[in-house]
Amino acid sequence: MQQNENILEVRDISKSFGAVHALRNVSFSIRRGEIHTLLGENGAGKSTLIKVLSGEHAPDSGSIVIDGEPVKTFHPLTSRAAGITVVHQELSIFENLTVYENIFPYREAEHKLIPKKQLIEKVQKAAARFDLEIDPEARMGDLRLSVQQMVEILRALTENAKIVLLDEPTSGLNTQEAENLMCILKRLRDGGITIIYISHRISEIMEISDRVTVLRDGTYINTFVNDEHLTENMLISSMVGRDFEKSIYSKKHSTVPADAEVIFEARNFSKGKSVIDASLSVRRGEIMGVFGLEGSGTYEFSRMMFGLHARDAGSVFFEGREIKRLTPTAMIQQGAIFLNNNRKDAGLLFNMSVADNMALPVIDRLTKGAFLSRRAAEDYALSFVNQFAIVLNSIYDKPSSLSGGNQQKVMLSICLGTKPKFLIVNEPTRGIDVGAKLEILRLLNEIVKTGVSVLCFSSDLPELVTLSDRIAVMNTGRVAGVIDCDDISENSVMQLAAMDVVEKGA
Amino acid sequence: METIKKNQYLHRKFQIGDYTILFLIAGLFLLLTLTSSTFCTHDNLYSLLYGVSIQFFAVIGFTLLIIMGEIDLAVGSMYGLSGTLVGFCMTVWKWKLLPSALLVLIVCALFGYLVGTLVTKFKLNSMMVTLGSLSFVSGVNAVVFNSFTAVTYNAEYRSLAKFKIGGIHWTILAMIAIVVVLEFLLQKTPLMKKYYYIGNGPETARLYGIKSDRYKRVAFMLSALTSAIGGIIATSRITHSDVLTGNGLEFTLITALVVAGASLAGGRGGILKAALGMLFIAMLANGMTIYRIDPFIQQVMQGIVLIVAVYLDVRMNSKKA
Amino acid sequence: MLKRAYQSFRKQDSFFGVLASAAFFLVLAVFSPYFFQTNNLLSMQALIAPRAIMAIGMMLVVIIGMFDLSVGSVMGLAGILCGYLLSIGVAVPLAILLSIGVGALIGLLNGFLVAVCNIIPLITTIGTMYIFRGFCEMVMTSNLAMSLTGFPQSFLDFGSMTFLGVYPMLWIMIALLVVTEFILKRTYFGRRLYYIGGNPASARSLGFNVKGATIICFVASGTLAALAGVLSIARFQSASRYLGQGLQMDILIACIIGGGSLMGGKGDMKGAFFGTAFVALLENAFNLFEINSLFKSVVVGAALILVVLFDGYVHLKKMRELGKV
Repeated sequence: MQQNENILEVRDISKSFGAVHALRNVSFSIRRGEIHTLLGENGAGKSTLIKVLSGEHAPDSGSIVIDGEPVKTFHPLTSRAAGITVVHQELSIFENLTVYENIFPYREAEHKLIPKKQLIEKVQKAAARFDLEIDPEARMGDLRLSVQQMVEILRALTENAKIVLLDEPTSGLNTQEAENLMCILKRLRDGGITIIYISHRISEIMEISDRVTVLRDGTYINTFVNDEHLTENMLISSMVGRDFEKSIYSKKHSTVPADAEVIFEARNFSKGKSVIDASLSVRRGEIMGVFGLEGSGTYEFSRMMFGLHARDAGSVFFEGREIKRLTPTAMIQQGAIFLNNNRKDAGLLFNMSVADNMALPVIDRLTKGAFLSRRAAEDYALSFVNQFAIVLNSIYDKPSSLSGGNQQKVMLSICLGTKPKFLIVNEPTRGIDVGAKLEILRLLNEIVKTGVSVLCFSSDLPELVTLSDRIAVMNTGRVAGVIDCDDISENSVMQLAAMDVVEKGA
Repeated sequence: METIKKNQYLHRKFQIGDYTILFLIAGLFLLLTLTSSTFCTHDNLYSLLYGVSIQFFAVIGFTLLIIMGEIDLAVGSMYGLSGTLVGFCMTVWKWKLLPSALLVLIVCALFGYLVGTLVTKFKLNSMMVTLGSLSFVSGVNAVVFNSFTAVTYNAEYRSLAKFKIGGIHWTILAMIAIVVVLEFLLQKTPLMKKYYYIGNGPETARLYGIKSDRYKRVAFMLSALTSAIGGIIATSRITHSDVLTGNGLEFTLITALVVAGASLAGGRGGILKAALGMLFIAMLANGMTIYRIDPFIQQVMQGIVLIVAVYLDVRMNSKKA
Repeated sequence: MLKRAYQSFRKQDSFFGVLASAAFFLVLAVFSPYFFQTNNLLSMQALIAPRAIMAIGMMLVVIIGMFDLSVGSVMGLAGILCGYLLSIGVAVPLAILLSIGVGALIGLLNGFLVAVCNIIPLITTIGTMYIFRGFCEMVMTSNLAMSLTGFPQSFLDFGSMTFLGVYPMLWIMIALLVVTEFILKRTYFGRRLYYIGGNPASARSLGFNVKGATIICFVASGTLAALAGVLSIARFQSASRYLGQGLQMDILIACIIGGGSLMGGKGDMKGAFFGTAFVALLENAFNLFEINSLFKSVVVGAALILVVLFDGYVHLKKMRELGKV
């Protein structure tokens, strides 16, 4: 049987979730025995593609061909059987068990008892084959993340995986460990394993890849060969290169004076490896955007500055005064409020009515005398329904009956009810359709006109470019830089976000 | 145009499920009245109500915890301990009723606050912690109980439970008053409404500035305090300390609340529902006694009712998710 | 080589439990003149053996991340049932078998309610605890006196005959401990329990049957509790309505001190035994030093709170580090 040059072919794959098109007619192929990187910003469709390849999702249309055999059923166990193993960012390991137990959880047909010695030997052999040093009897939980990752890779290899897919493998590793990993991956490749590498760290990609495929907005853009002609700029441009005339977004012209007063400052926030000495400031009347690719620390930073996450260091100054005990209550008292990203996570109460939701932060105010006034609560809720044109049947409905965009508007109402001076927003338009996105953006702009300052964390670059007066860019836990309005472009932002950050000092 | 638009958005869906407890009570009441000659008599119904009104105290704080999605399994042992401790103070230290009761209430409240602090500060599972405090408190109860000879109490203490206002025991009046007032407060005051917010979404409540931890600590304290109050009255009713007082009360309370529509996951329930639930369970027990069903079969029945009630709760609430 | 043995011991889940009970043992041995008296040793055996057997079952349930509060009632019911059957003339082997069978059925019920009906173990096992304690009381107060007596001699011998100074129940306990430890450490089924308890989601994605394992563990717990009940009445030659009452807390604490975790994924039979030994030695200490035995609940309750606190604190620190809090 003639061996196909391509070990994996993605043919015309499309996948939508409701109104959101995650993948649109994506086609490319992966050659046997290469390290092939998938590059794209958040929302480009990488994670959906991973889920299709691992069998977790079935595509709406299109097909996957592995080693000449088209995939018939999409199920995690069949994908493994076909030879694809995915090593996720969140390792699925068993901490209290040993290495060899993590690598070989399944029974071999002929054995009634666990052949401990044999398994240990198998691990040692496999490790030696790829020049890894692992103690088969060590307890998983005692090992460092980099070694745990290695064990998971080994598990894939011993299951005779032909293709190992690694999703952002270096996000938890330090430089040395990342280097080691890449050496090992090269060795694996030389040994005949095909590797699909998902990352957005341009320098890593340049070092390790044989070829790079770029996705953007769910569509296939290009596949580059990593030869001497390939430059980092080419990769970055293809990540962001959108045709601006055809775009629904238009770039902002900032009206905020350069010497506007600073209303909010977060200084020197640190937490472990996820956020390192990050600081930023927001001026009155401006929308400060914060952009970062996955693993850059934006999520943690946003939550830390509002007092939702524990931190190792960092202080917050509001209108010049430090907030000593940083808690959500303290921030709200000062006039700040947090608009969360994942509605299901926190931010909306799905078992209470829309009216109850909106009343939450201001419940003490909706009273007549000492008691809650139904009338006051209704008027309050209705005013937001009108102001934001929220589509619903009744304010006593539960949020689950509203569309994503309207749920977001309800959350906005909850936040604005406190009449904040300062709004921290986290992913304002995640998971909602294009029409609703525009509406939310318009509303945000209107809010700013009324004097509220906004700090908007988002991984949607075009949106941020449209919205922001300035953009702070985070990269591997640090603030890589702040870009002023006139210099804002997707390209300039992505440069800071994806390129290696030059470390100051040591 | 304005008024039309307004009314359009104010439509409330009437959820029949919220009121099943009323149907259950009505149904059971009807059944028992029709099938037994002794059920629907003044004496029987009154003594039923009286019994519930004393145990009712224990459910006050307990309900607040359930609304917030926590639980206190030690309510029964606290109920028992308070009676024993008061007996101890009065018999051994020869104190009067009032100072004894005050001391005991303070001690129990502090203990509850301590438990609440452990749960909130270390984010512990309240079930497991209170399983431990259940053992601890009932152990203390047994030790104290055995350290003195339990005598029949003096008239002052005995009369506590028997005190009547206008021919009706004060505890029944108190229960009605508390239900009315507390339910009103729960539905109608911002402070109490926050309990529901915390129960429905602790992370969301925290995001918008509600200090969930504080509310929880207070609720744990109230749970211990109100159980202690109930226990003191219960002991007065039986006129001497009994180490078995309150044994299994937490079980009754959980069943009562779940049957009445509260959810162990939090976010639902109320004092009125709690009282109705307790009434239902008491009626059930009363009915079984009238039918001369073995008390131990009653125990079996209660276990079955608990499991069925929780099962239905799980079925209904996981659909919502 | 000794160092290697020590290091491998140090890594075991039951390390703390073994140490604690060994320490307690030494304290008692040194400070109490009565500790090594035959009477004391025999009664210790009778105390430890049934409980350790129950702890085996409880530990299995703890490993998959749950707990079984009905074991006290099951033990009592099985013991009472066995006594009742014997007193009406049922043959000894049949009586024993039926009683243990009842325990297995109750375990099946528990497992079904937890795994299939999705009722949390706390409610399920509290419910069955009450139900079957009610059964106990029913049997004891219906036709018969407070306690049953008059068992066939063969049964009594089985209970109190000593072989090498050791009761049969101790041999049974040792056998069960060894076999279960073997299953846990060397068979695929046993190891799977650790996968399921340690990371249920990943275990499911590996294709492991979580529901099935849950049911099996509860059945084991019920069966072993029933066995303990039978052994108990064989030794004490009578059955009281209070048999087993409240024991579940002691057993649960014993398992946790012995290295099990409320989060699941940890624990072994050595720990089950030494944890039980620890609690039993505690009780013995109360007796020998003439401390009021009522303090036991106080100590047990405080111990559970401390263990939950410690467990929770460690978990909290970990979540903080991972940035999830």
